[in-house]
Amino acid sequence: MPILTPAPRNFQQPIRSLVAEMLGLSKDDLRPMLLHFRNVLDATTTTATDYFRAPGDKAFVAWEVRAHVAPQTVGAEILSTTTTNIMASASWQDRLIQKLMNARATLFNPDLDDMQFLNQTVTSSGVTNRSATTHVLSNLHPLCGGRPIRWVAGPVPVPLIVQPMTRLGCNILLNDTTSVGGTTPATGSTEYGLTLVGAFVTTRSS
Amino acid sequence: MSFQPPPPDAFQERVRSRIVELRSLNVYDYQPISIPLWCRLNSSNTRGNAQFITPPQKRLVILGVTPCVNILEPSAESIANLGAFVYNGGGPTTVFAGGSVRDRLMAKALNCVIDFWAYNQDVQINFNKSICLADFYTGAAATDWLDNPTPWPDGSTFDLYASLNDSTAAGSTTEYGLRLDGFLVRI
Repeated sequence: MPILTPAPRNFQQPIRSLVAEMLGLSKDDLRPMLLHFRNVLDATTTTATDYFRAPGDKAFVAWEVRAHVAPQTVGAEILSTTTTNIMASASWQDRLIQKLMNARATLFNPDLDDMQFLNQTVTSSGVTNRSATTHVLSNLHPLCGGRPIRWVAGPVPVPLIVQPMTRLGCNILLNDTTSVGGTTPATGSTEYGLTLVGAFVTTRSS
Repeated sequence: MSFQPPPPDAFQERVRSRIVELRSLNVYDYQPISIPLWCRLNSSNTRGNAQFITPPQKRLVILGVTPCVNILEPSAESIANLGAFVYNGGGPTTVFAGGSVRDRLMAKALNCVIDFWAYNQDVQINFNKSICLADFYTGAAATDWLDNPTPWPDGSTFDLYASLNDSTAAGSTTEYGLRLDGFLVRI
């Protein structure tokens, strides 16, 4: 009579990470991480930059970039009194869309010139028909038909790598601060920014 | 007694990426990139184009495209641009007279057609006909090329052409186009 092999205990099974295996690392060398850039802007403070510096012994590896918008004073988000304008839209989703469309983002590495993977900011003065070179937050958000930037080819990440002791900067610029009735597209102090999905990876010899 | 060699300097170790190794590349030989390719159109300027030119000695691998419709000045976007909305007992005079932002974005996406070319290779990525931007725009209809991220030739110019079908329904100045996500690979 065959002896049935007992099933292995679940907690003895090591949790594997595909990325860690690819990189030949142990689980202690890889830490999943969300990197959050945020800038608080309104109709008077229309641009700001937030920075992150990778630690000396770790690289930050990112494969997804998401948009972030969060009104700081939701009670101040009043409707426009001009009923013939789309700013009078009466739902929170519409208000978020208005704010996302109004914010342009640039992610850049100030320490390594060859890592400009999102293009330079342009000023908002005037409106012309030249092509724009910044990313607009609405393009990264599913509310507006957009989606996060993902650097993944099939199952394999093709990550952005921030080398140790180098910085990432995130600049946000608001486009339209014109008043419409009792409110503006920039009404209410609001956080705008980006969230990067990735991992800290210990740098060491193999 | 044998001596252990000192460990190599940790800062010299480069973080490896499997796909980079498969291509026998150094980590500095590839660069993740996200390219906004869009142009600003309105009722007076109904046609435009945007270009991206790959840097010398690099190929562009496009992983996917995402549509973009962005109203530059929400405060200038009157609902009267797409037909008057009558509040007192009457009704909208066009199907696009809704006052919501999402109705407006959808109307603009339907009103825009695009063509996407790799210019000096004479290759059109949308092969036989212009594409309506709304084809990319409804819900999560962005496009991924999954396991087939074929590199496009080095030294290429990528052109996106956009035009509006109905100039009277164009509203205020709006950005129309695609965002390309991918990476540049050194040849």
